[in-house]
Amino acid sequence: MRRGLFFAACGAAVIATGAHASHSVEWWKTNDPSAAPAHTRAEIMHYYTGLFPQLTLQDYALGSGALNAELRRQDEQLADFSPAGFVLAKGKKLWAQPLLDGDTYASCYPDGGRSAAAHYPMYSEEQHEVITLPMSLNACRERHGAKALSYGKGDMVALETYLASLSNGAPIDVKVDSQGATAAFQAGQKFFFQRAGQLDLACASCHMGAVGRYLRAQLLSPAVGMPATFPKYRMKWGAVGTLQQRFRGCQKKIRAKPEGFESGDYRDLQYFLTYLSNGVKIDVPGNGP
Amino acid sequence: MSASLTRSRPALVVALAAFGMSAAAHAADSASDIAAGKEIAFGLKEGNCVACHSLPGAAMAGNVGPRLGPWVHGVFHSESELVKYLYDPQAKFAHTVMPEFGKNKMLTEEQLEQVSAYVWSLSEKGERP
Repeated sequence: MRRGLFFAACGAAVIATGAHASHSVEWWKTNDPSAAPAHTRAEIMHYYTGLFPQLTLQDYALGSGALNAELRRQDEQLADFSPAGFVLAKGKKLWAQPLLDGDTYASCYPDGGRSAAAHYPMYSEEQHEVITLPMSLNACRERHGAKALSYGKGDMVALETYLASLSNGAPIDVKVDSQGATAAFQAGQKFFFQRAGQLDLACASCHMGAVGRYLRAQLLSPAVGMPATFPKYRMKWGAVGTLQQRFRGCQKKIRAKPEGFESGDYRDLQYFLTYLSNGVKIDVPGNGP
Repeated sequence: MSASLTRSRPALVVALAAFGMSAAAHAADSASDIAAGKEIAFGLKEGNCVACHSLPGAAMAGNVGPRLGPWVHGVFHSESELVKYLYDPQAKFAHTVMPEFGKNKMLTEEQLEQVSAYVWSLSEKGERP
């Protein structure tokens, strides 16, 4: 009887609070909508390090592989023969092609694009919005007489993959240092914690509340570190895709209507997640299940 | 107990009234109800309880939630309470990650009762909630 009562009490605790009832920090309390970005980042990192004290900051780039050695081994094996190499090669070729006025993409970025991706997404004080890496590529194209490319597929993903790879080894260094930037960060934070869809789940429900647990066979990864390896090849996609493609997939899973690539919500969310990942070294293209 | 957990009773009453069910409806579960509930719990498209909960005989079950077993009797006290919980888990536990199967029209009233009948019938002890 006593054992039954124990199970009942534990079950109630787990059901009541999300998966990590025993953790000293309740995940939803990391969401203070008016807190400064640095404070929010510290609170969320405190939550994760409490759960996973063995992980270094760089380990977060491994996603679910950081939490399971077998998954990590599979990702490493995939990387050895990854089809992402073809996308990277295509992106390199496109990058080198002159634009309509004879100039190149490299002319649009400091140091020819090396380490540029470490600073994206960035908040534009002129445009009063978050600018992502693919938006910067299209802006470059248009400045040099070329038409904008469609987001989330084909040549744009290849170019984004190559440009991001020029920052491999560089730690993410996204700034949130103005009133407008803070508002964009907080909008991303709101999206991250906002329940949505028929399943009424937030990004945070799975990637904080149930992080490290299994949804059927899928090990739920921390939100921190994700941006460091996108664009990445996912076996589920059979292709290289962007972080925003992953957002769309999650929204479909929770039976919410996915937004278009580079929507305001997605850009703010990516800005939020990438700022949380400051210090994690970029490793693109990633590989995973 | 936190304030968020104690605020649940009025919301539950409202939800129950809106749902229009009675405790008497759960007095006796037929084998067919239990079987139907199990099918929903294991199915990918409807309940998909196995995505998060281990259940006897389930392959590739998730562990976001606890392994379900007789301990649920101690938490919910009656099968009607379990049906109410499945209808709107947040009414009882504000921060649960469990979807609102009734409130968000994922399962019908009849299906909620069938799933509850199945879960209530479990006799295999959970390994660890």
